[in-house]
Amino acid sequence: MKLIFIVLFVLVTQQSYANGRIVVVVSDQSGIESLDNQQVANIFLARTKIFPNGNHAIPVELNDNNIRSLFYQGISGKTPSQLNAYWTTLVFTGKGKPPKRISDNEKLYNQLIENPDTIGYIFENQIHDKKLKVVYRFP
Amino acid sequence: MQKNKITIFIYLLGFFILSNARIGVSHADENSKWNFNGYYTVDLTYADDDLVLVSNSKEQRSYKDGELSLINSIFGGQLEYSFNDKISAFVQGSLYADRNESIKFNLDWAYLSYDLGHDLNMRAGRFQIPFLSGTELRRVGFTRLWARPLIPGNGASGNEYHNGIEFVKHYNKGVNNWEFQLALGQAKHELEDVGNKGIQLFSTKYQRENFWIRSALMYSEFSLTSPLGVRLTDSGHAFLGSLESEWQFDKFQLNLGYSDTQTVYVPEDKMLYASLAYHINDKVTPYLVGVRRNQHFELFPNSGTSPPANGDGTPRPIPPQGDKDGYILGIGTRIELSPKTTLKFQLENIRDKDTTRVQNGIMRSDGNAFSIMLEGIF
Repeated sequence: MKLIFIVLFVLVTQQSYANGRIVVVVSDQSGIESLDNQQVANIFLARTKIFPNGNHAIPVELNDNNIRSLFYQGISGKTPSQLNAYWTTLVFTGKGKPPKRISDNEKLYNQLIENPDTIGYIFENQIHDKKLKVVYRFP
Repeated sequence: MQKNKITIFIYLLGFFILSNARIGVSHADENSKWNFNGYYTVDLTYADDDLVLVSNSKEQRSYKDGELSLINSIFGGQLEYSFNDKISAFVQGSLYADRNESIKFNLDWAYLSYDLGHDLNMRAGRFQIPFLSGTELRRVGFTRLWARPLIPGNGASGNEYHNGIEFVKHYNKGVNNWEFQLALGQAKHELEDVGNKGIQLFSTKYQRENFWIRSALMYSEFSLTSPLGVRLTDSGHAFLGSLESEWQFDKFQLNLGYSDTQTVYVPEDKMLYASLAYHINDKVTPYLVGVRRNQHFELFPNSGTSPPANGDGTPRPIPPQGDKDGYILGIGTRIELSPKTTLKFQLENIRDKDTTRVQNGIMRSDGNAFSIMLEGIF
């Protein structure tokens, strides 16, 4: 049993490294050039709906638990359970809701490219289009 | 007994249907204007004495000595419709058993929300009272560490909800986050004899990394009628203040809360809670919790001591006068079964001392309750 867990752990971590690190991206039409960790956290945790330049911010994300867990652990230190408790508090008081989930990478890229107000996160080595601009890299 | 079995069956059926539904907090269809979120609590509690426990709903939960009951279970859901990026409509209700173990539906929230920009939101409709997190999120057990709400159902001076408008403003500067909330409206009180003429509430929440603190000030004006039907006052006032905080350091989590309410009729109503939890890992969190509430009731002049019978012939209660003190000391554990499902165990000792019923002398109760709860969101 222990061996199975070790093999699974190695597979999962290898998969993460194989995809590269996570970066936060916007359309190249966006006026945003860079963000810091806190600004990214504020947008994705529904603490603000505006970019530092005053533009409307619409966070979107891929419907993939692996990248979500890594991303939110990175920006807030919250585990998936803690994150769900956080969202539940906001949702059932009407004070915020999680980013819109997009079913696949292609749709996510299209939304990010077409709407300069949207902001998302992807693995760095999955950027194949110069129409996306990296505004934050995890250290 | 038959009714109880039906209630249990409906709860279990609802749970199995809803827990398998691909809807909710994390399953919004990317193109749909409709969004549904739900929550549930299946609460199995055993009491070793006649006890009144804090309820997940607005119903009072009385347990008899040796009783094992699911009556404090609750299901709820929120339906949202987005007209566009700025305007949305929300309806939120809950389903639970009333005192007669019949299933009852309650409309908890119903409002229109408008994004004014600059992180300012205006909304109009029906809202739970945002006095304490326990008064606003009483029904959604998944949001709290403990098995049941720490705040009694009448924790906001007996006001259940309000119809009116609210403004919610967020402000961020670096790692510092503020949330300001202004609520204006007319509240619905749990007692028929209290007619609310208006509430004003302002709350501030400050959050920074693993720390938050929230304060609220509330003022309400009400009319009061005695059980004899005599109008005692047309301009009663209630002043309420609260302070709540959570601090996570290393693997520890400390929660503190305090509220103070003053009215002519109840010049003292203080509530204090404290909890210390230890996150052993991501999944298991044992905790200790203590709650104290002290109330002092004054008898209104001319309120009468021998009220007439109700319509069904039962005598109406004599207005209380004196002190009512309650203490809860609990130990429990929250276990994350999955990111959306949690299991909780809680053992609590509940002590009450009531001197308000002068005809009965001092009434005391001292008993224990053990609860196993399955809670989640979908």
